[in-house]
Amino acid sequence: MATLGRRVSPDTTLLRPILATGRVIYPLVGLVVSMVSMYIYTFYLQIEGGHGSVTGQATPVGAVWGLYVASIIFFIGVSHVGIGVSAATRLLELDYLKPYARIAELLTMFCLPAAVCIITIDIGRPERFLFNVMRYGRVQAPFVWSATVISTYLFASLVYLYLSMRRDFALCADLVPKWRRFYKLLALGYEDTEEERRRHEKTLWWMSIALIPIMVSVHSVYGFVFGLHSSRAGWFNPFMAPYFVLGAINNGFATLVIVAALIRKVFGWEEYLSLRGLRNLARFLCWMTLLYIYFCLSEYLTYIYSPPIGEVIVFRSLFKGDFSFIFWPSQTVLLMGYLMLFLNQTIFNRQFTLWVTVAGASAINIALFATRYLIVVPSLMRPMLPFPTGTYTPTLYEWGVIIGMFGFVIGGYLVFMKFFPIIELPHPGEAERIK
Amino acid sequence: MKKHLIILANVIVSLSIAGTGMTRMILRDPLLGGGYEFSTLIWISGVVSFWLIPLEICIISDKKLTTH
Repeated sequence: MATLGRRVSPDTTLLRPILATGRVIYPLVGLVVSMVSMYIYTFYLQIEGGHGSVTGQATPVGAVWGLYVASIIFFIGVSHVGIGVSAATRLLELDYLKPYARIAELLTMFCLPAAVCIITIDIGRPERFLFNVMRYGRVQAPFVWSATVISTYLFASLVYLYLSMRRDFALCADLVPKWRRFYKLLALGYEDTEEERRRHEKTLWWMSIALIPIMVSVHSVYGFVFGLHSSRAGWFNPFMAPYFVLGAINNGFATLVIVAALIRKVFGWEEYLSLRGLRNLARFLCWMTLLYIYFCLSEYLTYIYSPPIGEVIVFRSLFKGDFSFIFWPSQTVLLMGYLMLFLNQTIFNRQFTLWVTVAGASAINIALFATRYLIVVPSLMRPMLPFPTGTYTPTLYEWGVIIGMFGFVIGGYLVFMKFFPIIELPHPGEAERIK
Repeated sequence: MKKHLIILANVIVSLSIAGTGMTRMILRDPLLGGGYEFSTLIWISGVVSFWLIPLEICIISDKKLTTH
């Protein structure tokens, strides 16, 4: 076997999912296929019978946006973390976070298309939406900017991921003989010389800097989609964009902690995905959650103190009305998630346990999903024209679409792990430094 | 040298496409959005194609472009 003159590490631990297929993968693939088929089936039913046949959304009475839009915000939020972690690793030289970078980048690669798939089903006639935005889009429209930033973020992230993986493709061509030609083709002549490594590292460093504002703008645009509705009670708020960005950071880091802990446990990669790395990710998540709670409290306090009439109705429905059964439990779960992370990092510092961190991150994710639902639906329940107040309850089909997209993300990870290393193969002498 | 020319060409083409798209979007009727159709598509194509530059920097090898 002719190598390309690079120094190949004989340790193939990180290639285990590529070299062997465990028995558990088959039922897992079956589960993922059935989850994704829920999305496809609902889409088919919706095209056949229209929105009214599968969703609880309605107009003019009721909510025109519902669970779909809450999930779009959730998935776009999760996609935030990819470049965030990768850029922090590169720009701040946090070597111990390097093994987490690709796991995070993949969250962007799978969650962003998942959000686009939900946008597609939410629109009802996706071809018209695409055609009309591209043909008649106005420079003032947030949706034009949404299309711009999502396309740019997705493409740039793809380029970033490819460049960061090129060395691994070349190494895999030597270490995985059965797919040698496939990896050689993907490596596009990469030879792993000092000069090539330096050039890639420098390019990725500059890309990290350029991608951070794009990452922030992706979720800011979604904040503006809501915040620019001057007459919609509960939405018209100059803090909507930073509020959304902060929520996205929480969402993304919470999901990364969960996914990384799972991968660490399943493959027994404790020496690569170090506890120090997970602990620092959780620490950052902890302080960001505290900031988010502060944002929520100041918003609620402002609206309780001297609200306009529209806000009175919306916030009354949250605090003691139709949505209080979601509002209070979600706020409690958010606080519990924060406390789990906080106590684990401070008072019980010496007995730091990973499962408490994962439980805290899961609680934060659940609470944030509910919060997104509460941003979207209650404001839409208050009609602005003389119509009666409607109701909205998500149907099982809508939940099926969300489950389908979770299946898409899980399936994406499974396929990726089968063909490519999910942790960047260490450079000579680097493995010891990470450990 | 050829590599630099390719990158320069990409910068010029991307900026021109994005600039054209943005100008046409601004020139559209602000109320009805009439005229200058597909300017959003042009704008997004320009912005996205700009991100081919990192690929060109890393993938194109000067040695392979040199003709002996």
